Amino acid sequence: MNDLKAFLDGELDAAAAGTMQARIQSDGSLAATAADFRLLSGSFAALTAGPRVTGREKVLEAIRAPRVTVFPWKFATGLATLVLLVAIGSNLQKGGGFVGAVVKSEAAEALDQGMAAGSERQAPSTPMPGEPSPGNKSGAIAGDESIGELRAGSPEAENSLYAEKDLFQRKVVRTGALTIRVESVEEAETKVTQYVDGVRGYVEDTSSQNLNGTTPSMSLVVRVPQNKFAEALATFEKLGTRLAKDTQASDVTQQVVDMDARLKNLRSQEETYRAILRTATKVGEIVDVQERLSGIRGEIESMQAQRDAMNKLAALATINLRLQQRPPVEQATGGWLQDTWSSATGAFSAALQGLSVMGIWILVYTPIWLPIAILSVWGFRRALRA
Amino acid sequence: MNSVLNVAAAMNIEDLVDSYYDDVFRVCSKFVGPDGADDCAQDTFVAANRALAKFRGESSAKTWLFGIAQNACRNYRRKHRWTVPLEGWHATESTDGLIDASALREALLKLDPDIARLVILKETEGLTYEECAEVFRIPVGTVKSRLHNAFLKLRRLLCETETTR
Repeated sequence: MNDLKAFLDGELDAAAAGTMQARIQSDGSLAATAADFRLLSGSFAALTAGPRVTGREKVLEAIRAPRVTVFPWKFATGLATLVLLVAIGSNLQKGGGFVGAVVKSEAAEALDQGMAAGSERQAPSTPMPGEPSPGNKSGAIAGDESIGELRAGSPEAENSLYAEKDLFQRKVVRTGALTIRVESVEEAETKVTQYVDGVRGYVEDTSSQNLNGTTPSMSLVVRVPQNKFAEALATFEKLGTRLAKDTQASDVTQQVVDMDARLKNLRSQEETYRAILRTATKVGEIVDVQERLSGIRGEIESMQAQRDAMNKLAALATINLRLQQRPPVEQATGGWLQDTWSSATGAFSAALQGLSVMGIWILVYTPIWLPIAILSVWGFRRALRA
Repeated sequence: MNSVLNVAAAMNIEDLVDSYYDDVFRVCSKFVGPDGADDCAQDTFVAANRALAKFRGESSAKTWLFGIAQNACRNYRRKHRWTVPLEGWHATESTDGLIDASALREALLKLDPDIARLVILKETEGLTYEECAEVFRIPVGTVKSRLHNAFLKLRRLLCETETTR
């Protein structure tokens, strides 16, 4: 039946055409359909006249005209891609970047790599001596060097508190608290101890809990040199997963200076009383002066102890480190199905996160690529019209 | 002339315009209506000029151009609504015993646009099934079945129209 139209159009081979011819002759309804098809074909064929043919000259002109190479959209797209890649590349060089952003935000990166961000809550906004400058994340620069850089780099630094460095060394007491989830508390403790010994610090206090249980933990009070504070925090964070972090800095320079001045004054008084004592002849006078001398000596020793303690605190930073062991992973009861489900959902989540990051990048660079894209489309259409 | 043009090496775009512009224009006007026919014909030849080097002469130049025209008309239709095929066309001969042109047009409009174009190309341009297959890039068997089914549907539509009158 499907061959009827092909038969009428002469598209069947001789055998098929013969068969169809026979069927038409024997089947009245097929013959009627064939007649209608012929009528339809004839009616179409009669439509020989149409609208007047126009536009031939326009076509010839369009063909003869030299091909206009307008600002091509491909070039523009390539340019936009290049700009984007350069931006991403420069960001990657800085250590953050497109991929890094998936795992860790810039803010978190800054927090991780420099304790300055944490200590800025109480300390001045510019780095302190012995603390890494923003450009140097190793935390290994000595205080004098960083001050030198500051002076060379910014005139404002000349007027800053650091200009007083010539008069005395600033005293900053730094403390940090870090909670880390580790695979093994014992191993982590060993590493912490080794590191602290290596930087000439010491572990001041250690306490452990539930060491034989499923979730053992350990608290350590670690003292490290001031200029190793940031490095120590970063090193400890690498022991496992950081759960909490807190850093503080307190400038005690003024207190130390006050104590020094008072000590100097007390010593001067002590010398005066000693001179009086040497010339005293009456017993009453001698007893009275000795009492005063005894009081002054007590004050001097007390103040000296305070100053020494302050200096010690300022010389070594304190880190309260808490290590928590990761609880043992329960054996999967769902078997491969659960594993597959978990890994698939995890991968999906990561992919979504990646797409979101990509979307944000594209959005941020909209002012660059959108005008280029609009210009390209406009130019492309114009070229087509031309 | 046409036989020469069938050979790719001998083809020149201006010769193609001279030889086939009318045919292409006519086909375009049937596909998209007279208003867009010259735009589509121009797009067809501009595209053909760009693709001339790639033409290997496996089909006739006319079929090749009709294939390009079909794409040009499809692109045109994406920007414009499905206009009336065969608009402005009429039967020049005596219409006695033939179907009225407007009735044909009405019926064609009720077909799928691709099918309607196939019917128009086959019936008004006299292309063979093989040429239609090349233009539309479909197998010959598909051309055969589509044409047959299209004619059945046209017949039914025209009968319904006749009945309502």
